[in-house]
Amino acid sequence: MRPDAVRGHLDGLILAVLEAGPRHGYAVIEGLQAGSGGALDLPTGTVYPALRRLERAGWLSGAWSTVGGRERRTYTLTRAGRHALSVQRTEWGEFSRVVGGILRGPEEQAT
Amino acid sequence: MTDADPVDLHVAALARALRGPARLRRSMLAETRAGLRDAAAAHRDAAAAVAEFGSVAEIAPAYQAELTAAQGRRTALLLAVLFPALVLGWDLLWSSGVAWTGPAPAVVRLLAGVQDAASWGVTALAVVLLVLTLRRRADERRLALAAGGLGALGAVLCGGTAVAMNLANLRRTTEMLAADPLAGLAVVLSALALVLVLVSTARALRLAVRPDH
Repeated sequence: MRPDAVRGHLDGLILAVLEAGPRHGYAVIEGLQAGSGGALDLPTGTVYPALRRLERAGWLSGAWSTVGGRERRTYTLTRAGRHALSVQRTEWGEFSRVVGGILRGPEEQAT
Repeated sequence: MTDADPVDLHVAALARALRGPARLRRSMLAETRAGLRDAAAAHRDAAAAVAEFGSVAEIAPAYQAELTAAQGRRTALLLAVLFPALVLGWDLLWSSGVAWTGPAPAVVRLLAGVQDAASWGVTALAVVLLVLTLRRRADERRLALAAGGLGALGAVLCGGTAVAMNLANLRRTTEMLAADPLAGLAVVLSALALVLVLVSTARALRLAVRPDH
């Protein structure tokens, strides 16, 4: 999938990955890749500043901790982040229903 | 750092491209290095981890945006705290008896009014900017520019009126400073506060007008 197509949705995707529980940066990247079956072809470097942006917005809380003997920054979804995720899910559902309906074309819709 | 390590080289190149609050910059770079090490371990290939990460030219702008946003927020916070603290601090000092003796000249009363209005105006606008920095999609360069401009204007207005007021009432100011060491301390602390504002303001403006991000 083209990085440009993903970029606008990266924040929502990160929130979704963190819904299952706290993760550090590379684990978020692995979660994104695993969740997309490897189809998400985004420079992994875009994820770290995105995590900070979401933290600044109050959707994630980040803290340094020792994981596996190494210092890592772990992110947890906040209550505001959960709310933002549910809003994004609703909006995406609406968007894909409308655009999907048009893109399918009249023949497909008739069947 | 070994020169041959692609992870260290890449993080060093990224570090050279970034400007902004030192602690956040260090934290972001340390996090990136740890992430790249994780990726290198997963791929068993540091060069592959670096390639997957993206080039510095591609990635640095998003990092810089966060650093610029942080500087804008920091400057706005400083303004929102220091300006009311200066007004309230001087009011407290005034009401505790550290003051000029006798009525102040009309020009001094006018300047004091301007200073109070400027201080509260700066405080109110700084709070608005602070709230705006919470927005995920806020334009970080505009916010840094606004915080920097506001701080510079506030420092010049409040510092300027303070100097003018004391010059216009020089004899009583000298008497007050001679009579009470607390007054001298307050003047020094106020000057330091304005210097702090100007330093933070200069940093915000520098990031806001950087041509390379």
